[in-house]
Formats: sequence, C-alpha cells, structure tokens
Amino acid sequence: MKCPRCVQRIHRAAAACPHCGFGLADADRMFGDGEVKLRSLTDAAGLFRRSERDRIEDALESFGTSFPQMFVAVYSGSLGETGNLRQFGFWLLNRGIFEDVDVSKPNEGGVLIVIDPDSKAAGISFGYLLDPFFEERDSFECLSRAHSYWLEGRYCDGLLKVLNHLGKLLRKRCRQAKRDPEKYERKVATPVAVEDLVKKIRGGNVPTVRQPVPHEDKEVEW
Amino acid sequence: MVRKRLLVPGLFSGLLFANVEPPLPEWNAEERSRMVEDGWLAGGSLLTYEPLPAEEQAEETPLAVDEPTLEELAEAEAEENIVDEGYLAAYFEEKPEHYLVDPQGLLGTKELQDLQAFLDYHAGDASIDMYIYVFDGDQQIPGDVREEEVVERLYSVGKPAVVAYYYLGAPQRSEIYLSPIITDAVSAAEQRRALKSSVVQAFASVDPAEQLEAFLVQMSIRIYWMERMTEGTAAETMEAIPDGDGVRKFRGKKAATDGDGALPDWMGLAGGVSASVVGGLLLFWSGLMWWKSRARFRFPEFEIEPRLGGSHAAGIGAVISFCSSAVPPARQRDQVPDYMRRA
Repeated sequence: MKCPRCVQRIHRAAAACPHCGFGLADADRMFGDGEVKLRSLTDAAGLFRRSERDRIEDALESFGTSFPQMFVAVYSGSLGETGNLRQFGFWLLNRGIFEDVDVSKPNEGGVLIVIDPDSKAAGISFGYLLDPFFEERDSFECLSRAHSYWLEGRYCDGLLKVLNHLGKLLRKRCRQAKRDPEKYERKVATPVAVEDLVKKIRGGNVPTVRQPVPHEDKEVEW
Repeated sequence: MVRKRLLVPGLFSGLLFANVEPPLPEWNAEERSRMVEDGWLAGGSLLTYEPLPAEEQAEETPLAVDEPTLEELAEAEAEENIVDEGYLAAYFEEKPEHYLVDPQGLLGTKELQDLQAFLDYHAGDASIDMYIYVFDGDQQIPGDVREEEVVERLYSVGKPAVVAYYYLGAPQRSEIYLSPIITDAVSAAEQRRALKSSVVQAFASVDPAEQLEAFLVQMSIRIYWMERMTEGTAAETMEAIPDGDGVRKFRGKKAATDGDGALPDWMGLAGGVSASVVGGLLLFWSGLMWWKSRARFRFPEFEIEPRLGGSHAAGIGAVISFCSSAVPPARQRDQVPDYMRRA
C-alpha cells in the first residue's frame, strides 16, 4: 500500500499518509468534492477515433464479461504540468459514478487507467477488491506493454495491449486465489493489536490451586 | 616540316598506284606457236583473249536394246521382299490362337512375351479384341492375299476384333481392318484417325519393338472409343476426337485408371490423416476459444479496511512515462512521486 502523493508505504488501514498527510480530502480540494458522472471510456483528450472507441468499448465489455465483479474504466485528459495521475486516479475511483457500468459492480471492483497525453504518462488505480491480488509491479507490467505504442501515438493499440495483459494476469491470479485463498487473505487480514495478543497468550496459562485433602474422623475401639 | 608536306602527297600517290592493276601476261607469239605444234598448250583457253572454242559433242549412238517383256517385269517384282509362302498359312489360313501373329520370328522372345501379355490384358478388358500381324518393314504381302477377305473369313464370327497388319520398323505402312460386325458402327474416318494416331505414337521411338508397343497401346485406347461407338453411348463429339492432345489426355486418364502415374495409396492415406488432424486441431481450438469466452473469473472477497479516506479504492499502481524512447520501461521500475516527474 502506497500513498498516491508521496508513493511511500503506508499502513493498509491508514486514515492519512503518515509521511505526507495525504488523504481523500486533499484530492477533493484538487479535483472537486462532488460526485462525477462519467462513462467507462472518457476521452477528454480526444485521443481515440470513432472506430478506435468502438474497439476499446468492446474490449472493456469483454473484460467485464470475463470478470463479473469488476470493470475497467479509461480516462484520457490533461492533468496539469506535474500530471497528478495517482492522486487523480485515487480521487476518480472514489468520486466517480460510471454510468454505463452495471450497478452490481461497485467501484471497489474497478480498475482505472488514466492517460495524460500532455505529460506523456499513464497510470493505473484499482479498487479494494483487487487489493490482495494486484500489486504495483503487476500494473507496471501491464503499462509496459503499451509503452512502444504510446511512443508512436498509437493510444488505442497500446491500451488494448494493456487490457489484454491485465486480463491474462487477473485470470492467473484468480486461479491462484482459488487454490490458496488464505495466502491472499493474510495480506489484508486486520492485524491483531499487541494488547489483544498478550491477553491471548496469558489466557492460555491457568495457574494450579492447591485443594485441601479431606481427613476422615474414626473412633478407636479399646 | 618538310616531311609533313611530302607525307600527304605521298599517301595520295600510293592510293592511286594501288588502284592500277598490272597488265595480264601475254603469250609470246613464237612460244605459243611452238607449243601448239607440239600439240598441247597449257592454259591455252585462259591466257588469251580469243573466245573459247565450242565443245565438240560426241554423237551418241542409241543402244539397240529390246523393250522389257511382261515376264521380265514380273521377275523384277519378284526381287522385292515378299512374305515367304511357308509363312502364309500361319498368317492367313486360320484364326490365330494368339493375338500377336509373328510366325517369322521378327520379334525377340521377351518382346514377344511382353506384347502378348499386353494384348491378352486388352482382350480381358475390352469387348473388341486386337490382332496384330507382324511383318518386316519392307515386306510385301503377296498379291493373292486380300486383307479384307481374310478379316471377313476369320473374324466374322465370335468376338469382334480389330486386325492390324503392322510392318516392323515402318509403322506408316500399317493397315487396320475391323470385323464386319463393327464396321458399320465405326466410321471410316474414325478408323483412319485411330490408325493415324497409333502411327504417330509409334514414331515417338526409333526402336522397332518400342514402336510396336506404342502402336498397340494407342490402338487399344482407340478401340475403347470404338467400343463406345458400337455400344451407342458415344456422343457425336467423339467422332471428332482430336488426334493430338485429346488422345494424350485420354491416355493419361487411362493410365491413371491403370495405376500408371496415379498417386500411391500411402500418399492418399497421409493426406487424409493430415486433413483429419488439422480439422481436429481446429475444432479443439474453436472449442477452447468458446470455453474461454464463456469462462468467468471471480475473486474471493475479503474485508478490506478503507484507506486514506477512500470508501471504494485506494490501490495505487505504477505510473509509466512514454515521453521518450530514451526512457524505456526498464528504467522506470523505481516509482517516484508525480511531483518528481516532469514531462
């Protein structure tokens, strides 16, 4: 778990980044605190032609069919000079309402791909459903597939490569999770508090108490 | 400088003198007369301007020879190669037992056996037999033997036949005759075409035995068409079967049915197996793709505590820059904050 702003490791249940203090409120100040309605494919930067949009939407729909709990959203737009991709992705997945996504798929199951053609960067953000199964290096592998295409301005082809590799990777993880779900559960299990741990240990040691041995009174016959 | 002035006139004078031919030698009168008196003048007609003397032609006296009589003419004909009388009975007296008639032994033993086997095969496969009478290339059939009469006498009864008189080494002299029963069904034009095409095929080789073999093979093919004609199943176009390619095509077709040039059985089997394997793989792949398309993947859902105030998501993945090919993905594995990254 990393902070979207300083990219430092943070606790899985941290309310704010202990390093930079970042939180959703900071993202709301940057991008707005209201809900945002948009479609799963939002091409604000105008990167895709009509035919390419169709291809991407077909790929998104196919992904959603293969993974009934999840959906993929794509946003292209300029995010400023510094390109706050991570913060924007974090904010949009929490504030965005994707109109063309089934209501049975909450944003916890969402994967958001953000492409900034001005800063020439792209990033991936994902919901809590994938927290145990999807890591930063996985998203790096997916984006790497598209690097050569995006260098040439072939955004659609690159994006389809990302989606394709994402699907393969998630299928593999799903099979692994079915075989050994505990392995992934441990990653997100709530850590036991130290005090509780001491109680637990102590509760297992019960000291022995000496019981008096009963004596029998008997008359002695002369 | 003086030399150059003299050079050009010198060259021109040389050219002039080169065009002037020296005079021809002439006889000295005294020498000539002396040589004439001697009786011989060497080159007398050459080195002189006198015209050539007219040649004196000797008068031809006609020979006193009588004109040839008829008997003498007959004897002259007798000097040609005519089939010996001793063989005539073997040739023309009775219907031969074998399809290849060679009482003179013009063919070798092996060649005879091979051709006989072919003719036997033809007889077993066709409804019209083929009889071959083999003569030497320059032989003549005696005048008192009429080929048509022989065919009518010997081949009117029984299985219809094509009788060919073949001259070994001279296929162009060959002749064919048909049994009377099929003469009406097979037109004369078709008979001529059959003979012509067989002769053409025979000339493909220079060896007499091979010529005969080629002749027989082609004739066998033509007999097949004759059979169709006699059966009445031949179309009108069959009357105009070309002697060239059309015949060769048919020959190829017949060769295929005979097994010559046809694909070996193992190739056909291999082709079938390959096709079935490919089809099976395609079917399997199609099924696999269909299964994959219908496969659904569900993740186990765990209780996740919200992070950084986000009620739905806080998962941060990688950010990759594609501003320059000089910065490949391999150099971007170490993720840095956005504010430390510039476009």
